[in-house]
Amino acid sequence: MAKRSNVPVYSDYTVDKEEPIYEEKPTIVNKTKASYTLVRNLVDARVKATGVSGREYVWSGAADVVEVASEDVEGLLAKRRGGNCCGGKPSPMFEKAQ
Amino acid sequence: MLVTGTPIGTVTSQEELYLEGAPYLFFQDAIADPLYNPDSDGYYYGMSATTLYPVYQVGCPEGVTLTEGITMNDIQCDNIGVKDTVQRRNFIDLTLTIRSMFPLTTLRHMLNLSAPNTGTGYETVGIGSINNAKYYMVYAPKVYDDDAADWILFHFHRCKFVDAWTIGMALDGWNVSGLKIRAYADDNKPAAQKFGVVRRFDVDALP
Repeated sequence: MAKRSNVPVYSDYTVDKEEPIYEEKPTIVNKTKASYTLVRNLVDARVKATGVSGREYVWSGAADVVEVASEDVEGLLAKRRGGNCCGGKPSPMFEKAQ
Repeated sequence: MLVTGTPIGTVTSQEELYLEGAPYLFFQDAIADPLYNPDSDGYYYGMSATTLYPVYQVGCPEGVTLTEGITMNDIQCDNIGVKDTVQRRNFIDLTLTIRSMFPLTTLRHMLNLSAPNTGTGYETVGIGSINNAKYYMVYAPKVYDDDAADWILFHFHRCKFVDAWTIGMALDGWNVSGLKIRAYADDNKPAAQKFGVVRRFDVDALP
């Protein structure tokens, strides 16, 4: 029996596969929000001080408050000025403002 | 009867109590409120340091004297002479010499120097014009019996460091002489204490 020639042959049938799309997502940087403490100047002067982090802070006068990085706070609060003359004693240069 | 010449009636004699040595000296911006502002009797005295208005202690004072400036006007009658003297108190002067120079952030008030800059390892003050708008309270307590906690204090409401200072750079030690704290009348205080207050604390003597 002769083959029917009008029947389409699908031998080479292929389905176009779509290439997977890889979205380029932004890099997630886990930014830890810097922690600050408000530190008040107790010296009646314009005071410049450098913390252990190397950051430099400047207070414009007595009672001025500046944001200080957490790692620098302890060192600054430990600073003392003045001496023991005549019944006096060294007094702190800074205090926490909150 | 023993004749002593003592007046009859109530006689108040002075105590056998003699003070020695200088009081401690503190000063603070006159804008600050005194510790007792006022006390239950209406007197203003004492100090309380604040962040904005620190209290400074004068280091190692010597030769402290307290005196006053008054104006005396004799009422002279040409027929009988001076009949009276009218007096007016103008100011109180506290003069002293100090042996301690540092910190400059304290000394600069006494020498009328400029606002300081300070940082790790340094402090700087300028020698410029004198700020005539700066007034201080001065507080001078003197404990004369440590065991009994008896003491006396002087408090002056509105003072200024006046007169020319001299820094003696001697071999036996530097000093700053010529320091004079002048206490003026403070209009905001009651007339009876417009220059200052003296208070004594002594439970034994003042039962």
